[in-house]
Amino acid sequence: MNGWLLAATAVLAVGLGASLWGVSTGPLGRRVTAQNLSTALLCPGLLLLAQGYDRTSYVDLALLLALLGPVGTLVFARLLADELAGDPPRAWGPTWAAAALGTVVVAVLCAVAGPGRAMVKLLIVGALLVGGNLIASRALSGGFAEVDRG
Amino acid sequence: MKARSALLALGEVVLWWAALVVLWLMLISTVYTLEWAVGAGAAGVGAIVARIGRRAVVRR
Repeated sequence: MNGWLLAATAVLAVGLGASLWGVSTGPLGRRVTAQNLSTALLCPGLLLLAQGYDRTSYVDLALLLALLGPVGTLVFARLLADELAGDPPRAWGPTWAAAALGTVVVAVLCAVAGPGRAMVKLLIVGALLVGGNLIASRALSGGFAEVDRG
Repeated sequence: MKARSALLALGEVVLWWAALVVLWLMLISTVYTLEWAVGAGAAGVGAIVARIGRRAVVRR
């Protein structure tokens, strides 16, 4: 057990545990917000695991998750638009916290990786993670009302 | 005018292709000839799809 694995365990246990609890309990708005946060927290966890186990293939998993997680949330936002319209879930505190966590993890891993293609890949994952998370949160909070009906 | 629009379309596809090839090269672990070939082919398909998608969004 090294420091990376310890950090990954903390992220997964605290962050993912809390968001899974949020997904399985409470009103719809909370569940869908927690679902969005779960992918945003699992992705930094996978990046830390990749570093801890020295298996770069885990970075590919994180890349896929950073890409598909927000897409999944956008599908939920579209399908549940009617149910969420009355009281759109606004969770900017947790959203920015998850974005900050992703930024810190990617920055630290970039510093460890040093300049090169691995660093560029990490930066792509980070940009997809943070950008996708912010866009998905905005969609959930009704920020794209003009495209809700296509 | 027709030749100009065809040239513009080709230019756009080439730009998409170049961007996608660079993305591919950044995401793979080791770069060798077969990876180049597969990446260039996939980026070609992706470039055409990207142009079609962009036009579908713009012309609504």
